[in-house]
Amino acid sequence: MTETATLAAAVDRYEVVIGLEVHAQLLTRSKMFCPCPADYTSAAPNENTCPVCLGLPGVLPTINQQAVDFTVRTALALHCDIPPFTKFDRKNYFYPDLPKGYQISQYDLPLSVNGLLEFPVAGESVRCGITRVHLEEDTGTMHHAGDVLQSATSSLIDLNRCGVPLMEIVGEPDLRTPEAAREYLVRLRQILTYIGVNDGNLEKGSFRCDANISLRPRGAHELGVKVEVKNMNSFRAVQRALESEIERQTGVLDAGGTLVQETRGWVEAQGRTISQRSKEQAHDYRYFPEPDLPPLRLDAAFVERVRATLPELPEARAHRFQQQYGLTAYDAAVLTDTRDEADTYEALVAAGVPAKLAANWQSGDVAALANEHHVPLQHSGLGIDGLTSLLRLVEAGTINGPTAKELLAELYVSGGNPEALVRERGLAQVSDTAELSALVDAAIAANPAAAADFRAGKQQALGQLMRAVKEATGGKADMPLVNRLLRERLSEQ
Amino acid sequence: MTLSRAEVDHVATLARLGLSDAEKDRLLGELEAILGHIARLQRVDTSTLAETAQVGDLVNVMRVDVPEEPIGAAAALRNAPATDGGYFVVGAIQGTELDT
Repeated sequence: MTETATLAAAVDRYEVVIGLEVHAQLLTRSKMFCPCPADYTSAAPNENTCPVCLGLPGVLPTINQQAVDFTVRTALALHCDIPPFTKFDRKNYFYPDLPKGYQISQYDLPLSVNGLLEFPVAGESVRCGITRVHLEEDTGTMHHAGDVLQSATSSLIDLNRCGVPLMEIVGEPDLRTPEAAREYLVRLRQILTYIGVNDGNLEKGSFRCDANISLRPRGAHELGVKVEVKNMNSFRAVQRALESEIERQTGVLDAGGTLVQETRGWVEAQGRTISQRSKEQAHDYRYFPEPDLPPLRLDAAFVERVRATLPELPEARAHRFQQQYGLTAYDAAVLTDTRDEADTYEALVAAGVPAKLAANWQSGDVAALANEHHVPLQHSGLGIDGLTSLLRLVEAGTINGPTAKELLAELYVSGGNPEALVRERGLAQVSDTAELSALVDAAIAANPAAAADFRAGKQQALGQLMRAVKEATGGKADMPLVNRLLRERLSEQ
Repeated sequence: MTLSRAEVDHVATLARLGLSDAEKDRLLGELEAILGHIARLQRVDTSTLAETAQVGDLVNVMRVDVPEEPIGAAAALRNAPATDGGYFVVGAIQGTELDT
């Protein structure tokens, strides 16, 4: 059986239950509990550290207000309740990437609970509950032997990332397919980047996902044994890892075996998960309230103040784009994919570019150029203003489509004023009927065979005549007009 | 308040303490004394008091998100037993990374 067929057969017999846990670094300037810079990628190892994040004795952590704001903003975007009282707790464990011997996290009274994320899967709307969104701190990074020229018996520790604000978003086990898990993450990442709290980089680990997955026979009420899958650093990896887990778990259950509750790591190169069970006993984190941090009372006024900072969310914006600009659902989704994309579109329309014209160009040629040069429009030579000028020239009929495409590609890289360039190079479209009529006559005279073919009913023959007129104007002819004039002249006897 | 030897073993493991049997026997007694003291406190009637994790009245103490100069790697590493190229060096880690 093929992989897909095996999976389909498994899903026939077993119900798949998936719950996702996402860790997202917050885009604050300083760390969670100390004022060290939160940038851990560009600094030399251990450069952005201080006694607080180094876990030295006798220090006092302080709460970064921006991180609290960002977490509440996220919670509100995910329709969570914000309890009036919240506090931090210590989660105790020894590991060299966390020098304090504990992580400051939240245990029984998190910042927010009971939310909801709605997202499309294959055209259907799926809802997944959000258990909680809470705030904690990231750990340092470790380079194991092999990464660096080191003896095989040691690890290198960099604590620049230690203490960076980390938000944990725990989803309910409401997901039923690997595809739904993937789409949940796509939508969640989109929302986090829209509201400006996270940069959504799975590869670099600023947005990380762990998945809990279990199988139960269809119709059963009790949940099956849960396996936690880690090490997935792309949307595709999440989907593949879960598919592979479904196959593995199905195999064990079909053979009459029992599954073990454990953590498994996704190994991309092998396309399978591998047990990470250690000989250690079950985790015993001995949570207790963090005595060094006063609790937070977040009143309604505070919550409303944060709510006011929420931008229009992608789903609502896509819906509005359809209503307000008459776009298709597909175009609206493409143009609201990122906040920058949607802002660009609305800037074009606000500057007078017709909605449909702006949509076609932005999602077509402009998107292709952005992709090709790895530069978004707003940072290109052309910029939003340049594109506005260019599209106004198209709309006014000053230049034709092919000329506009050429100019777009050139100006995207080199920059410049489209109007000035059109004047300078004489690129204005030839749309004078008398002038074009003369060229149409000349084209027919020069291509008698094509003219005769067309008159005999061969539609394709028109192409040769169109090209002749186009060449005669140096590519600047108003081609829809040429088409009309040619047809009129050829239909005359 | 009685504590089992297995509980002492468990706590020692969590604390990464390598203790001899004699030390465990001694600590069993000391820990029982501490727990006994807490057990006495637990007999006090607190039914009329609000539950709290802190004795101070402070709430909402927060810092604005403005970075300050860190102490830097040289100072951070000054007391480290082993370093290499700006990193702390520790013994190789066996087993899995824990949850964050």
